[in-house]
Amino acid sequence: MIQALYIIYRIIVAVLALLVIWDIIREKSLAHVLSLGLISIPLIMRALMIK
Amino acid sequence: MNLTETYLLLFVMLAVVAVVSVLFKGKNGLISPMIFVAGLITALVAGMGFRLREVTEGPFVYVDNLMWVLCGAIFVYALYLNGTFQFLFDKWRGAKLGPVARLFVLILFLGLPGMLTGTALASVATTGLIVGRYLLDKGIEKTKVVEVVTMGSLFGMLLPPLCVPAMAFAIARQGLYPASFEGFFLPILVLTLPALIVYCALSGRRLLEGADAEEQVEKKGGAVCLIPLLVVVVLVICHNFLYFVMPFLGYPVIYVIGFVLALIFKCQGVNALTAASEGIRTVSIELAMILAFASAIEVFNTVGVNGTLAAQIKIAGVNSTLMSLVFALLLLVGGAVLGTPFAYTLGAVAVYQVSNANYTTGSELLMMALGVTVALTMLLSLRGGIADSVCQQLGVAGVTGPGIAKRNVITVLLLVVAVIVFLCASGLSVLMI
Repeated sequence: MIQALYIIYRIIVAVLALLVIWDIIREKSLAHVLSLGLISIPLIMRALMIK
Repeated sequence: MNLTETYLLLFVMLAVVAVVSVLFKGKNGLISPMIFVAGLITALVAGMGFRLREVTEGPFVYVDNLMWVLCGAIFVYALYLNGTFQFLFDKWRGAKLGPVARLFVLILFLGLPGMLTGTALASVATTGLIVGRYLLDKGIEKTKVVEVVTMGSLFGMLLPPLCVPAMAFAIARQGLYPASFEGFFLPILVLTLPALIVYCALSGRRLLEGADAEEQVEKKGGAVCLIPLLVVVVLVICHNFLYFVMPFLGYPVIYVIGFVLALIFKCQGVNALTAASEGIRTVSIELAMILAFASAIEVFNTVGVNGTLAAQIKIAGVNSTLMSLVFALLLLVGGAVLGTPFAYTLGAVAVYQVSNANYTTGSELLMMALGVTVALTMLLSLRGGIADSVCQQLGVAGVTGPGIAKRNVITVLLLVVAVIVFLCASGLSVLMI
Protein backbone atom coordinates (compact mmCIF):
# COMPACT_ATOMS: atom_id res chain seq x y z
CA MET A 1 0.00 0.00 0.00
CA ILE A 2 2.74 2.44 0.99
CA GLN A 3 4.72 1.59 -2.13
CA ALA A 4 1.63 2.16 -4.29
CA LEU A 5 0.92 5.49 -2.57
CA TYR A 6 4.55 6.53 -3.07
CA ILE A 7 4.21 5.98 -6.82
CA ILE A 8 0.76 7.63 -6.99
CA TYR A 9 1.98 10.70 -5.08
CA ARG A 10 5.02 11.00 -7.33
CA ILE A 11 2.80 10.86 -10.41
CA ILE A 12 0.46 13.49 -8.91
CA VAL A 13 3.32 15.86 -8.09
CA ALA A 14 4.80 15.44 -11.57
CA VAL A 15 1.44 16.13 -13.23
CA LEU A 16 0.92 19.17 -10.99
CA ALA A 17 4.39 20.48 -11.89
CA LEU A 18 3.62 20.09 -15.61
CA LEU A 19 0.25 21.81 -15.22
CA VAL A 20 1.84 24.72 -13.36
CA ILE A 21 4.49 25.09 -16.07
CA TRP A 22 1.78 24.96 -18.74
CA ASP A 23 -0.13 27.66 -16.83
CA ILE A 24 2.99 29.84 -16.70
CA ILE A 25 3.39 29.61 -20.48
CA ARG A 26 -0.27 30.54 -21.14
CA GLU A 27 -0.66 33.14 -18.41
CA LYS A 28 -0.84 36.83 -19.31
CA SER A 29 -0.91 38.39 -15.82
CA LEU A 30 2.58 39.05 -14.43
CA ALA A 31 1.36 38.57 -10.85
CA HIS A 32 0.09 35.10 -11.67
CA VAL A 33 3.19 34.20 -13.68
CA LEU A 34 5.41 35.10 -10.71
CA SER A 35 3.19 33.24 -8.23
CA LEU A 36 3.05 30.16 -10.44
CA GLY A 37 6.81 30.37 -10.90
CA LEU A 38 7.31 30.27 -7.13
CA ILE A 39 4.96 27.29 -6.83
CA SER A 40 6.65 25.39 -9.63
CA ILE A 41 10.10 25.27 -7.97
CA PRO A 42 9.32 22.94 -5.02
CA LEU A 43 6.99 20.84 -7.20
CA ILE A 44 9.66 20.28 -9.86
CA MET A 45 12.27 19.52 -7.20
CA ARG A 46 9.99 16.99 -5.54
CA ALA A 47 9.00 15.43 -8.87
CA LEU A 48 12.67 14.95 -9.70
CA MET A 49 13.42 13.95 -6.08
CA ILE A 50 16.06 16.68 -5.74
CA LYS A 51 16.61 17.40 -2.06
CA MET B 1 25.11 38.58 16.94
CA ASN B 2 24.07 41.49 19.12
CA LEU B 3 20.59 42.93 19.47
CA THR B 4 21.31 46.02 17.38
CA GLU B 5 22.30 43.85 14.41
CA THR B 6 19.20 41.72 14.96
CA TYR B 7 16.88 44.71 14.93
CA LEU B 8 18.69 46.15 11.89
CA LEU B 9 18.21 42.96 9.88
CA LEU B 10 14.61 42.65 11.02
CA PHE B 11 14.04 46.26 10.00
CA VAL B 12 15.64 45.73 6.56
CA MET B 13 13.38 42.77 5.78
CA LEU B 14 10.18 44.38 7.10
CA ALA B 15 10.98 47.75 5.52
CA VAL B 16 11.53 46.24 2.06
CA VAL B 17 8.23 44.32 2.28
CA ALA B 18 6.39 47.38 3.65
CA VAL B 19 7.68 49.64 0.87
CA VAL B 20 6.84 47.05 -1.78
CA SER B 21 3.35 46.57 -0.28
CA VAL B 22 2.68 50.30 -0.55
CA LEU B 23 4.23 50.64 -4.02
CA PHE B 24 2.36 47.68 -5.50
CA LYS B 25 -0.92 48.79 -3.89
CA GLY B 26 -1.85 45.39 -2.52
CA LYS B 27 -1.13 43.34 -5.64
CA ASN B 28 -0.26 40.26 -3.58
CA GLY B 29 0.90 38.33 -6.62
CA LEU B 30 3.69 40.85 -7.14
CA ILE B 31 4.50 41.32 -3.45
CA SER B 32 5.17 37.63 -2.67
CA PRO B 33 8.15 37.35 -5.05
CA MET B 34 9.48 40.57 -3.54
CA ILE B 35 9.56 38.88 -0.13
CA PHE B 36 12.07 36.44 -1.64
CA VAL B 37 14.07 39.44 -2.91
CA ALA B 38 13.85 41.04 0.55
CA GLY B 39 15.25 37.79 1.96
CA LEU B 40 18.22 37.93 -0.41
CA ILE B 41 18.84 41.58 0.52
CA THR B 42 18.64 40.78 4.25
CA ALA B 43 21.16 37.96 3.89
CA LEU B 44 23.46 40.29 1.95
CA VAL B 45 23.18 42.99 4.63
CA ALA B 46 23.98 40.35 7.25
CA GLY B 47 27.27 39.78 5.42
CA MET B 48 26.35 36.24 4.38
CA GLY B 49 26.53 36.83 0.65
CA PHE B 50 23.98 35.82 -1.96
CA ARG B 51 22.10 33.01 -0.15
CA LEU B 52 19.87 31.52 -2.78
CA ARG B 53 19.74 28.13 -1.05
CA GLU B 54 18.11 29.32 2.18
CA VAL B 55 15.62 31.45 0.34
CA THR B 56 14.45 28.53 -1.80
CA GLU B 57 14.80 25.84 0.87
CA GLY B 58 12.04 27.13 3.14
CA PRO B 59 9.19 26.63 0.65
CA PHE B 60 10.17 22.97 0.28
CA VAL B 61 8.50 22.29 3.65
CA TYR B 62 5.15 23.03 2.04
CA VAL B 63 5.35 20.62 -0.89
CA ASP B 64 2.74 18.28 0.60
CA ASN B 65 0.41 21.16 1.38
CA LEU B 66 0.89 22.56 -2.11
CA MET B 67 -0.32 19.21 -3.42
CA TRP B 68 -3.36 19.27 -1.11
CA VAL B 69 -4.40 22.76 -2.16
CA LEU B 70 -3.63 22.37 -5.87
CA CYS B 71 -5.50 19.04 -6.12
CA GLY B 72 -8.38 20.59 -4.13
CA ALA B 73 -8.47 23.55 -6.52
CA ILE B 74 -8.51 21.28 -9.57
CA PHE B 75 -11.41 19.29 -8.09
CA VAL B 76 -13.31 22.44 -7.12
CA TYR B 77 -12.90 23.99 -10.55
CA ALA B 78 -14.11 20.78 -12.17
CA LEU B 79 -17.26 21.02 -10.00
CA TYR B 80 -17.67 24.63 -11.12
CA LEU B 81 -17.29 23.84 -14.82
CA ASN B 82 -19.37 20.65 -14.78
CA GLY B 83 -22.37 22.51 -13.35
CA THR B 84 -22.46 20.99 -9.85
CA PHE B 85 -22.16 24.36 -8.12
CA GLN B 86 -24.84 25.85 -10.37
CA PHE B 87 -27.08 22.86 -9.58
CA LEU B 88 -26.58 23.38 -5.83
CA PHE B 89 -27.19 27.11 -6.18
CA ASP B 90 -30.44 26.49 -8.08
CA LYS B 91 -31.54 24.33 -5.14
CA TRP B 92 -30.82 27.27 -2.80
CA ARG B 93 -32.78 29.64 -5.04
CA GLY B 94 -35.89 27.51 -4.63
CA ALA B 95 -35.42 26.66 -0.94
CA LYS B 96 -38.15 28.09 1.30
CA LEU B 97 -36.23 28.97 4.46
CA GLY B 98 -36.14 31.86 6.88
CA PRO B 99 -33.61 34.64 6.15
CA VAL B 100 -31.13 33.44 8.79
CA ALA B 101 -31.16 29.82 7.61
CA ARG B 102 -31.10 31.03 4.01
CA LEU B 103 -27.97 33.11 4.60
CA PHE B 104 -26.36 30.26 6.57
CA VAL B 105 -26.87 27.82 3.68
CA LEU B 106 -25.69 30.45 1.18
CA ILE B 107 -22.49 31.10 3.16
CA LEU B 108 -21.81 27.35 3.36
CA PHE B 109 -22.34 27.11 -0.40
CA LEU B 110 -20.10 30.11 -1.03
CA GLY B 111 -17.47 28.73 1.31
CA LEU B 112 -17.43 25.18 -0.07
CA PRO B 113 -14.46 25.74 -2.44
CA GLY B 114 -12.68 27.60 0.36
CA MET B 115 -13.21 24.70 2.76
CA LEU B 116 -11.87 22.15 0.28
CA THR B 117 -8.82 24.20 -0.75
CA GLY B 118 -8.23 26.33 2.35
CA THR B 119 -8.12 29.47 0.22
CA ALA B 120 -10.55 32.37 -0.10
CA LEU B 121 -9.85 33.07 -3.77
CA ALA B 122 -11.07 29.61 -4.82
CA SER B 123 -14.50 30.64 -3.49
CA VAL B 124 -14.33 34.09 -5.06
CA ALA B 125 -13.58 32.66 -8.52
CA THR B 126 -16.24 29.95 -8.50
CA THR B 127 -19.24 30.04 -6.15
CA GLY B 128 -18.59 33.75 -5.51
CA LEU B 129 -19.03 34.49 -9.18
CA ILE B 130 -22.28 32.47 -9.40
CA VAL B 131 -23.79 34.09 -6.28
CA GLY B 132 -22.48 37.60 -7.00
CA ARG B 133 -23.84 37.74 -10.54
CA TYR B 134 -27.21 36.37 -9.42
CA LEU B 135 -27.63 38.85 -6.57
CA LEU B 136 -26.56 41.78 -8.76
CA ASP B 137 -29.09 40.70 -11.41
CA LYS B 138 -31.74 40.61 -8.65
CA GLY B 139 -31.04 44.28 -8.01
CA ILE B 140 -29.43 43.84 -4.58
CA GLU B 141 -27.09 46.70 -3.62
CA LYS B 142 -23.50 46.10 -4.70
CA THR B 143 -22.21 46.71 -1.14
CA LYS B 144 -24.40 43.87 0.13
CA VAL B 145 -23.43 41.57 -2.74
CA VAL B 146 -19.70 42.13 -2.20
CA GLU B 147 -20.19 41.65 1.54
CA VAL B 148 -21.99 38.30 1.13
CA VAL B 149 -19.33 36.95 -1.26
CA THR B 150 -16.44 38.30 0.83
CA MET B 151 -17.76 36.90 4.11
CA GLY B 152 -18.65 33.60 2.44
CA SER B 153 -15.13 33.31 1.04
CA LEU B 154 -13.58 34.24 4.40
CA PHE B 155 -15.65 31.69 6.32
CA GLY B 156 -14.93 29.11 3.62
CA MET B 157 -11.20 29.64 4.05
CA LEU B 158 -11.50 29.39 7.85
CA LEU B 159 -13.82 26.38 8.03
CA PRO B 160 -12.33 22.85 8.01
CA PRO B 161 -10.86 20.70 6.63
CA LEU B 162 -8.22 23.07 5.20
CA CYS B 163 -7.25 26.65 6.02
CA VAL B 164 -4.09 27.77 4.21
CA PRO B 165 -2.98 30.50 6.69
CA ALA B 166 -3.51 28.18 9.69
CA MET B 167 -1.74 25.41 7.80
CA ALA B 168 1.19 27.70 7.03
CA PHE B 169 1.74 28.49 10.71
CA ALA B 170 1.04 24.98 12.00
CA ILE B 171 3.55 23.43 9.60
CA ALA B 172 6.15 26.10 10.28
CA ARG B 173 6.32 25.51 14.02
CA GLN B 174 9.87 24.78 14.98
CA GLY B 175 11.46 21.51 15.95
CA LEU B 176 8.66 19.32 14.71
CA TYR B 177 9.53 18.77 11.06
CA PRO B 178 8.05 17.06 9.19
CA ALA B 179 4.92 18.54 10.71
CA SER B 180 1.48 18.01 9.24
CA PHE B 181 -1.90 19.72 9.35
CA GLU B 182 -3.80 16.81 10.89
CA GLY B 183 -6.12 17.00 13.89
CA PHE B 184 -7.15 20.61 13.31
CA PHE B 185 -10.65 19.83 11.98
CA LEU B 186 -12.51 20.29 15.28
CA PRO B 187 -10.42 23.17 16.69
CA ILE B 188 -10.83 25.33 13.61
CA LEU B 189 -14.52 24.45 13.43
CA VAL B 190 -14.99 25.48 17.08
CA LEU B 191 -13.09 28.70 16.39
CA THR B 192 -15.13 29.68 13.34
CA LEU B 193 -18.65 28.31 13.78
CA PRO B 194 -19.88 30.70 16.54
CA ALA B 195 -18.92 33.74 14.46
CA LEU B 196 -20.60 32.25 11.39
CA ILE B 197 -23.86 31.60 13.27
CA VAL B 198 -23.86 35.08 14.80
CA TYR B 199 -23.11 36.65 11.41
CA CYS B 200 -26.07 34.86 9.80
CA ALA B 201 -28.37 35.69 12.72
CA LEU B 202 -27.49 39.39 12.58
CA SER B 203 -27.29 39.87 8.82
CA GLY B 204 -29.74 37.40 7.24
CA ARG B 205 -32.65 39.81 6.95
CA ARG B 206 -30.49 42.82 6.03
CA LEU B 207 -28.58 41.12 3.23
CA LEU B 208 -31.13 38.86 1.58
CA GLU B 209 -34.05 41.26 1.39
CA GLY B 210 -35.19 41.08 -2.23
CA ALA B 211 -33.69 37.63 -2.82
CA ASP B 212 -36.57 35.51 -1.58
CA ALA B 213 -37.09 31.90 -2.62
CA GLU B 214 -38.21 31.54 -6.23
CA GLU B 215 -41.29 29.52 -7.14
CA GLN B 216 -40.04 28.30 -10.49
CA VAL B 217 -36.37 27.49 -10.81
CA GLU B 218 -35.16 26.00 -14.06
CA LYS B 219 -32.70 23.28 -13.12
CA LYS B 220 -30.02 21.95 -15.38
CA GLY B 221 -28.84 18.37 -14.83
CA GLY B 222 -29.69 15.89 -12.10
CA ALA B 223 -28.65 15.04 -8.58
CA VAL B 224 -26.18 12.52 -9.99
CA CYS B 225 -23.65 15.36 -10.33
CA LEU B 226 -23.48 15.48 -6.52
CA ILE B 227 -21.83 12.04 -6.36
CA PRO B 228 -18.21 13.33 -6.67
CA LEU B 229 -18.78 15.92 -3.94
CA LEU B 230 -20.44 13.39 -1.62
CA VAL B 231 -17.65 10.86 -2.15
CA VAL B 232 -15.01 13.48 -1.36
CA VAL B 233 -16.89 14.71 1.73
CA VAL B 234 -17.20 11.14 3.06
CA LEU B 235 -13.51 10.41 2.36
CA VAL B 236 -12.39 13.67 3.98
CA ILE B 237 -14.47 12.96 7.10
CA CYS B 238 -13.12 9.40 7.25
CA HIS B 239 -9.58 10.75 6.77
CA ASN B 240 -10.05 13.08 9.74
CA PHE B 241 -12.06 10.92 12.15
CA LEU B 242 -11.91 7.27 11.03
CA TYR B 243 -8.23 7.14 10.15
CA PHE B 244 -7.77 4.09 12.38
CA VAL B 245 -10.08 1.93 10.24
CA MET B 246 -9.61 3.50 6.83
CA PRO B 247 -6.40 3.05 4.81
CA PHE B 248 -4.45 6.30 4.45
CA LEU B 249 -5.11 8.09 1.17
CA GLY B 250 -4.34 11.73 1.92
CA TYR B 251 -6.00 14.81 0.45
CA PRO B 252 -4.30 14.67 -2.99
CA VAL B 253 -5.56 11.15 -3.71
CA ILE B 254 -9.03 11.96 -2.31
CA TYR B 255 -9.29 15.04 -4.52
CA VAL B 256 -7.98 13.22 -7.59
CA ILE B 257 -10.69 10.58 -7.06
CA GLY B 258 -13.23 13.42 -6.81
CA PHE B 259 -11.82 15.05 -9.97
CA VAL B 260 -12.12 11.84 -12.00
CA LEU B 261 -15.69 11.33 -10.73
CA ALA B 262 -16.51 14.96 -11.58
CA LEU B 263 -15.54 14.26 -15.18
CA ILE B 264 -17.94 11.30 -15.25
CA PHE B 265 -20.93 12.53 -13.20
CA LYS B 266 -21.69 15.97 -14.59
CA CYS B 267 -24.47 18.39 -15.51
CA GLN B 268 -22.58 19.75 -18.50
CA GLY B 269 -19.43 18.97 -20.47
CA VAL B 270 -16.12 19.81 -18.85
CA ASN B 271 -12.61 19.93 -20.29
CA ALA B 272 -10.28 18.22 -17.82
CA LEU B 273 -7.24 20.26 -18.83
CA THR B 274 -9.10 23.58 -18.58
CA ALA B 275 -10.46 22.64 -15.15
CA ALA B 276 -7.01 21.65 -13.91
CA SER B 277 -5.21 24.68 -15.27
CA GLU B 278 -7.83 27.26 -14.22
CA GLY B 279 -8.14 25.63 -10.80
CA ILE B 280 -4.42 25.98 -10.19
CA ARG B 281 -4.54 29.61 -11.33
CA THR B 282 -7.23 30.51 -8.77
CA VAL B 283 -5.14 29.46 -5.77
CA SER B 284 -1.67 30.42 -7.05
CA ILE B 285 -1.42 33.83 -5.36
CA GLU B 286 -2.39 32.56 -1.91
CA LEU B 287 0.01 29.63 -2.24
CA ALA B 288 2.84 31.94 -3.31
CA MET B 289 2.27 33.93 -0.12
CA ILE B 290 2.89 30.90 2.13
CA LEU B 291 5.99 30.03 0.13
CA ALA B 292 7.24 33.57 0.65
CA PHE B 293 6.43 33.16 4.37
CA ALA B 294 8.50 29.96 4.47
CA SER B 295 11.35 31.74 2.75
CA ALA B 296 11.20 34.59 5.29
CA ILE B 297 11.39 32.09 8.19
CA GLU B 298 14.44 30.47 6.65
CA VAL B 299 16.12 33.85 6.16
CA PHE B 300 15.40 34.97 9.73
CA ASN B 301 16.80 31.66 10.98
CA THR B 302 19.88 31.87 8.77
CA VAL B 303 20.87 35.41 9.64
CA GLY B 304 20.25 34.78 13.35
CA VAL B 305 17.32 37.14 13.91
CA ASN B 306 14.99 34.44 15.27
CA GLY B 307 17.60 32.79 17.47
CA THR B 308 18.88 36.03 19.00
CA LEU B 309 15.39 37.35 19.69
CA ALA B 310 14.32 34.02 21.23
CA ALA B 311 17.36 34.03 23.53
CA GLN B 312 16.72 37.63 24.62
CA ILE B 313 13.05 36.89 25.27
CA LYS B 314 14.03 33.85 27.33
CA ILE B 315 16.55 35.88 29.35
CA ALA B 316 13.99 38.64 29.94
CA GLY B 317 11.50 36.02 31.19
CA VAL B 318 8.61 37.33 29.11
CA ASN B 319 5.30 35.59 29.82
CA SER B 320 4.66 33.24 26.89
CA THR B 321 0.89 33.87 26.70
CA LEU B 322 1.38 37.62 26.78
CA MET B 323 3.98 37.31 24.04
CA SER B 324 1.59 35.26 21.88
CA LEU B 325 -1.11 37.91 22.32
CA VAL B 326 1.27 40.75 21.45
CA PHE B 327 2.45 38.97 18.30
CA ALA B 328 -1.17 38.27 17.29
CA LEU B 329 -1.95 41.97 17.73
CA LEU B 330 1.09 42.97 15.67
CA LEU B 331 0.07 40.57 12.90
CA LEU B 332 -3.47 41.91 12.89
CA VAL B 333 -2.48 45.59 12.85
CA GLY B 334 0.47 45.11 10.45
CA GLY B 335 -1.67 43.05 8.08
CA ALA B 336 -4.59 45.46 8.23
CA VAL B 337 -2.41 48.47 7.43
CA LEU B 338 0.13 47.01 4.99
CA GLY B 339 -1.57 43.90 3.66
CA THR B 340 -1.49 40.14 4.21
CA PRO B 341 2.01 39.58 2.70
CA PHE B 342 3.42 41.92 5.35
CA ALA B 343 1.54 39.98 8.06
CA TYR B 344 3.09 36.77 6.74
CA THR B 345 6.58 38.32 6.84
CA LEU B 346 6.05 39.46 10.43
CA GLY B 347 4.59 36.03 11.09
CA ALA B 348 7.95 34.51 10.19
CA VAL B 349 9.28 36.02 13.43
CA ALA B 350 6.10 35.34 15.42
CA VAL B 351 5.94 31.66 14.51
CA TYR B 352 9.46 31.03 15.83
CA GLN B 353 9.13 33.06 19.01
CA VAL B 354 5.69 31.77 19.99
CA SER B 355 6.46 28.12 19.29
CA ASN B 356 9.77 28.37 21.14
CA ALA B 357 8.23 30.04 24.19
CA ASN B 358 5.44 27.44 24.32
CA TYR B 359 7.51 24.43 23.33
CA THR B 360 6.75 22.38 26.45
CA THR B 361 3.02 23.08 26.54
CA GLY B 362 2.43 22.31 22.87
CA SER B 363 2.14 25.03 20.31
CA GLU B 364 -0.13 23.54 17.64
CA LEU B 365 -3.28 25.47 18.47
CA LEU B 366 -1.32 28.66 19.11
CA MET B 367 0.03 28.38 15.59
CA MET B 368 -3.46 27.76 14.24
CA ALA B 369 -4.73 30.87 16.06
CA LEU B 370 -1.89 32.98 14.65
CA GLY B 371 -2.74 31.65 11.19
CA VAL B 372 -6.37 32.62 11.65
CA THR B 373 -5.18 36.11 12.66
CA VAL B 374 -3.36 36.40 9.33
CA ALA B 375 -6.49 35.08 7.57
CA LEU B 376 -8.47 37.88 9.23
CA THR B 377 -6.12 40.44 7.71
CA MET B 378 -7.42 39.31 4.32
CA LEU B 379 -10.73 40.87 5.35
CA LEU B 380 -9.41 43.85 7.30
CA SER B 381 -6.60 44.81 4.95
CA LEU B 382 -6.66 48.30 3.48
CA ARG B 383 -5.15 46.91 0.28
CA GLY B 384 -5.23 43.58 -1.52
CA GLY B 385 -7.88 41.89 0.63
CA ILE B 386 -10.65 39.47 -0.34
CA ALA B 387 -13.09 42.34 -0.97
CA ASP B 388 -10.77 43.79 -3.65
CA SER B 389 -10.70 40.44 -5.44
CA VAL B 390 -14.49 40.15 -5.21
CA CYS B 391 -14.95 43.67 -6.63
CA GLN B 392 -12.57 42.84 -9.47
CA GLN B 393 -14.32 39.56 -10.19
CA LEU B 394 -17.81 41.10 -10.21
CA GLY B 395 -16.77 44.29 -11.99
CA VAL B 396 -17.89 46.64 -9.21
CA ALA B 397 -15.93 49.29 -7.30
CA GLY B 398 -15.98 51.20 -4.05
CA VAL B 399 -16.54 48.40 -1.54
CA THR B 400 -13.64 47.79 0.84
CA GLY B 401 -12.74 45.10 3.34
CA PRO B 402 -12.54 47.50 6.31
CA GLY B 403 -15.99 48.84 5.32
CA ILE B 404 -17.42 45.31 5.42
CA ALA B 405 -15.68 44.67 8.76
CA LYS B 406 -17.17 47.90 10.12
CA ARG B 407 -20.67 46.72 9.24
CA ASN B 408 -19.95 43.38 10.93
CA VAL B 409 -18.05 44.47 14.02
CA ILE B 410 -19.63 41.81 16.24
CA THR B 411 -18.68 38.98 13.89
CA VAL B 412 -15.09 40.22 13.55
CA LEU B 413 -14.83 40.73 17.32
CA LEU B 414 -16.12 37.20 17.90
CA LEU B 415 -13.42 35.81 15.64
CA VAL B 416 -10.80 37.89 17.45
CA VAL B 417 -12.07 36.68 20.83
CA ALA B 418 -11.96 33.09 19.58
CA VAL B 419 -8.33 33.62 18.51
CA ILE B 420 -7.51 35.04 21.96
CA VAL B 421 -9.16 32.06 23.66
CA PHE B 422 -7.10 29.64 21.57
CA LEU B 423 -3.95 31.64 22.33
CA CYS B 424 -4.60 31.53 26.07
CA ALA B 425 -6.20 28.14 26.71
CA SER B 426 -3.73 25.34 26.05
CA GLY B 427 -6.32 22.88 27.41
CA LEU B 428 -8.22 23.19 24.12
CA SER B 429 -5.73 20.76 22.60
CA VAL B 430 -8.20 17.99 23.66
CA LEU B 431 -10.09 19.00 20.51
CA MET B 432 -7.26 17.69 18.36
CA ILE B 433 -8.61 14.24 17.53
